[in-house]
Amino acid sequence: MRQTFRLFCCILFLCPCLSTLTGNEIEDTEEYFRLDYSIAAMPVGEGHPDGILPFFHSADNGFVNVILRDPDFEQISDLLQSCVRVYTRDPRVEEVQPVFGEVVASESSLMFIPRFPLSSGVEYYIECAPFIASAETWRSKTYTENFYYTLQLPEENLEPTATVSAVYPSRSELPENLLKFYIHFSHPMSVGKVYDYIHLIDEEGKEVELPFLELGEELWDYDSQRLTLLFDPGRIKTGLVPNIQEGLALHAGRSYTLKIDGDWEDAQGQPMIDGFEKVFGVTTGDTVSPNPYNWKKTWPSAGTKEPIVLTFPESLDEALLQRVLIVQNKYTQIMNGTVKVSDHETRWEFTPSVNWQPGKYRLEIETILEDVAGNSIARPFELEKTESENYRAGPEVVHLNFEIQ
Amino acid sequence: MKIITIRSICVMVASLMLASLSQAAHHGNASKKGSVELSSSGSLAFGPEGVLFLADQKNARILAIKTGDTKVANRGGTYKINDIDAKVAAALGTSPDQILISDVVVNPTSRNVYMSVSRGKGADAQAVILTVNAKGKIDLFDLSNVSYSEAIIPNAPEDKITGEGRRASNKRMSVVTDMSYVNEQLVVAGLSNEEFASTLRAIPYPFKKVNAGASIEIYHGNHGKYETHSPVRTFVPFDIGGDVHVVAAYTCTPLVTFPLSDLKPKAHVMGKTIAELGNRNRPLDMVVYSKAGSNYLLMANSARGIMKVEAMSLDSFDGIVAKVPNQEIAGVPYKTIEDWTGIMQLDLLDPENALVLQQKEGGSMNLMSIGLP
Repeated sequence: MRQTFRLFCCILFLCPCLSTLTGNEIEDTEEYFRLDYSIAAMPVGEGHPDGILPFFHSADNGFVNVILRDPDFEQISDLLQSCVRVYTRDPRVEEVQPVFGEVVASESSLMFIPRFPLSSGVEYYIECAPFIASAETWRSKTYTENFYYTLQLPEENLEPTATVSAVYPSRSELPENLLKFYIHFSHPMSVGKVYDYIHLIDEEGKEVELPFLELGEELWDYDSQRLTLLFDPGRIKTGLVPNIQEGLALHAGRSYTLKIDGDWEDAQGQPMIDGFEKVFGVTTGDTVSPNPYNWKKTWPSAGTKEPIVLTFPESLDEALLQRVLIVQNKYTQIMNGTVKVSDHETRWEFTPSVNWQPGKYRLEIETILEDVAGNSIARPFELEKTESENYRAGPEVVHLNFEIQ
Repeated sequence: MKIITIRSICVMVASLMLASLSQAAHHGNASKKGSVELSSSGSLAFGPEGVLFLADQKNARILAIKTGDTKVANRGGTYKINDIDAKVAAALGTSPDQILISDVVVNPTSRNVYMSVSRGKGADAQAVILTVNAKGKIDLFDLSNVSYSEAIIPNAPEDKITGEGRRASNKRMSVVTDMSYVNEQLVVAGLSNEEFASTLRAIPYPFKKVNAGASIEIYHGNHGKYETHSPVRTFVPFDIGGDVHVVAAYTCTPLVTFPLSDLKPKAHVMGKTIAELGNRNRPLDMVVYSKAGSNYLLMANSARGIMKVEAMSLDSFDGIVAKVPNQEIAGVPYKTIEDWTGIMQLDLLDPENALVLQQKEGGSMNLMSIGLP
């Protein structure tokens, strides 16, 4: 449950005043400024001309003796770095490295600027190390014990918003050699421990052990809203040890539930509104490549924006359907338009952004297009070696030519 | 994590083969100086003269950063840092559950240790490179003014991207599962979040203005009968019989070898299966090293201790051609070093020690140096 502010600063305000110092160690007081201080913490970007909006923490009981007449802040920069430190654990109790950040001085303040935004919910320990610097030598002397303050950013009171918005393949009958699921979320999700929240449950309510390929590098899209969940290919591939020992994760004739836990946090640290379940039955394995020449095609008429419609005898990979088919005119220029995938990924439509003109066109299809069992147009998921040479030299794209009249 | 391990091999084989890889139009940039804004920090690898390769997969690029960390050291320090994830979190000003350590590598020149870390777990997580010394002091590697160059890894065929909904919401991304520099090229194993076909890219370094790279389809023979695409989880260049080979562990568990010279543009490389991990056991990381005149391969995996293989056995092993009996690991002779458990990341610290990122029960991480077996 972490809410991270975009930018957050802790500030020591140092108010110069030529008052009498009480410490016995100090002599020659006119060489020094005594600087009373307060600690302030403020989110940047609200109100202040520099984007700083201070709110003050207690300033009752301490002061930092710093600097001097006509301070040259650049010269004392190193000294200032040790003046304020911020920790995530109590440095008086355990050895802990300070938070990365920089102490910056101006005429009236010292500011600790953390290198990364502070996180809400984390208790920060602010250590102020008072010192006195001689105007002549810039040499520091300890004046008092360190002061400590704690600071905790209020947790934002966020409501859960994330849900599972779609799972592909969307149909409820899937082959036992199913290769992957795409899980779409309504909001960006937290990454790093996805396999803790995803379960495959058999019809007796028992969890299938390790059905998925648990990669440290999780297969997300850019926005962390779509996760690609691969079934363990070792269990699918004929004759590999996992295949022999454990067999397929899915068995034909049975039904399973893909279960996503609702306590999976989104990127804001909030759990989902609810968990998600997809119940599906399992059919025998699919080992045949999709063949574009077996697809049903409906071509549009000139002067309209009718869609091109392809229908497939089986569900194909939803993500690839969105991406690997393009329409070209006779000059092989790519036609702009929108793609719609429907009917459990057995139907692909392309609606052009301008009316069709009479002439010759072609659909270009990358042969990486797969069905849900990883059989691509180029080659089945696994091949008998005796066949393999026939497939290796296959084309990267195939074309379906059509003419609009 | 492996480049140090094969430096001597690199010298032996020099600049042959992939000089001709200058097709495959991947854009790249000449070296420049300035601030590097990372969108993500994934795999790391060191190249020559302190060059750190870094996979920024959200930006679909690999950066080559001149660290300037070139002072030669023959030995690394003694690392025994408990709860490194908590210490990293403290330095980054957040809680340990917000830290992901993607990779840990040793600069083979200076023996300094670099970590690839995400701070935060959402889409707005910050990517950072940290260094850590043997005393446990963690520093931010400053990317605000560095000399660097980059190689772009194509995601969707970008020249075909069109507007108005056509591919406008392209969700395809490749993750880099491992990288290694050998023979003036960076070899990069990638896995797509869409099509299953896997690639090994060999990208000549220094990256050229129009960067060259070759995408190679990887297959593996499955007990002589079947062949399949296989994404590479981790790999290491390795000298077998005097030639540089790639020893690659697949996500589906076979361990295969193929000559580096097989990596030609548009090639379909078929590996020789030399071992297979048992079920519930995933390859995680590998290094090679020399000891007492022999070369060894060390592989971390998810279920057992570290697996140690002598190079000589790879040279003479014919490959698995029959069904594997019902055992944990089949193929080349190997030793299991049971003490090394929970090893997530593995690199050579110096000629006598490995550096490991070890996950303890309960999930916390230790960064340790351990004498090579």
